[in-house]
Amino acid sequence: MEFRYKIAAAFAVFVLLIGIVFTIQWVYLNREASTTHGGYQLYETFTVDDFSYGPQTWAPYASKMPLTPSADVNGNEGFYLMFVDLNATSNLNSTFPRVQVDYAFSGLHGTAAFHVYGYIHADGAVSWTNRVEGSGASGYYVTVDPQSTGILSGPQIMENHNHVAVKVANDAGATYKDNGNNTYFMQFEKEGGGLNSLHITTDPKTPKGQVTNTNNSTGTFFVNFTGDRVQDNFILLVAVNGTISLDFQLNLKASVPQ
Amino acid sequence: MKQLMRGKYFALTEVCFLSLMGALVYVLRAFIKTPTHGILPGHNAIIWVIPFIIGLGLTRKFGSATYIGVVSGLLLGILGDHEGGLKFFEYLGMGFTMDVMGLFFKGHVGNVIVCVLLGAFGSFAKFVVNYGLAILVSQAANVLLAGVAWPAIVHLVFGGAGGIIAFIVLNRVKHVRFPHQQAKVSENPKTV
Repeated sequence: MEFRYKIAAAFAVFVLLIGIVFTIQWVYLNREASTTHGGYQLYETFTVDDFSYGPQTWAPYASKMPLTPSADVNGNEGFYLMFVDLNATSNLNSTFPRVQVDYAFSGLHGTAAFHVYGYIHADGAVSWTNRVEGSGASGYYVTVDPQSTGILSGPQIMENHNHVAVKVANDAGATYKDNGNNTYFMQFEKEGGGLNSLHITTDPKTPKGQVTNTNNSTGTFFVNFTGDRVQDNFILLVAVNGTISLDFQLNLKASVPQ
Repeated sequence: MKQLMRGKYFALTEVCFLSLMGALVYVLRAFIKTPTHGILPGHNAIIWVIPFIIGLGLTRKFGSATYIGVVSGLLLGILGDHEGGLKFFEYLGMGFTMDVMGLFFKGHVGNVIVCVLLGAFGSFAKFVVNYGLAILVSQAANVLLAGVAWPAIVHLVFGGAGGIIAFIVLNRVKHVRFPHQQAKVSENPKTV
């Protein structure tokens, strides 16, 4: 075969390969998302007493991670944080593996930020979370009747942003009892790592998620992972600013679409 | 007969050279980190493919790239930073694909388009093995295949770009001969 024909043949294969990968992705993304799910893995109402940490503007990570996009991690607009064990992970046999989270706020007077953390039992630690800002960011933010931030007496600022145990707010405690005190250990290896696999999305067919800002005090979003490291459990971070009064309530339901 | 064997098998100097190329892949992989934070999965192919193509281009023997793949895969699998033993198969697949491409383009490995294709296909082979093993091991096909296009394109494009760099380097060093090639030239100067 002449050299120029060989080049043409190789380029044809090159184009064919690109076509094949796009076709595979198109086929996978155009399937029907399953909506049926079994019982709730989590069905619990959280109150003002369940906030464990704060006031602070950052979430745990290899470095202090802002709770909202482009927020100053050393800023004064403090959030109060609670970690909720969803007691669930994606069902890998599902068409779009994910965990569904239904939320309902009452008495919210500010912004609530949702972020997700991933726990792998073999590692015995939480080393994955969603990217808050920049390319590939995802997150879910609810703003209702914003008022100036008040002070809660119970919670304390987290002692460290990494290599720290965080307490979950669930009545049943942590699903995985590695530490025996209802905590999960945050262990991020390096800055920039552990941010590409976990996502928060409102559309199962957009697995990489998006940043959602809403004023609805009730709603649904999904948390998932897209990497090859299978997460054993998701932990939801709920951060709230504004006035948190005694009538504050957050009902959370987590379920796994089949 | 001796002449035939000399052409078919690797000389000791070639084995040493290819081993060094394999070690170079490990060094490049282990010590050069670019801060893309996972947004460009596989972009490092722009540097990994260079030693493969130079090794293949200078020895011009089938099996050169596979040998580099074996050496680099073993080094990364054993000494790599949390790479895991399965990395070996990625580099083996990459090298073997380049060898097959080199056979297809026999006598033209020094051509810039061929270098681009070698880099792109080699890098893509590594991606295919990587995803194939990940799906087999983690059973997460539904998760991985839904986002397969972007990393595949990045592997192809950056592998091709690495091929261009390899072509430039190869062009500067291709006059350097192995001792047995030099001896052949001395025996028959007209072949120069």
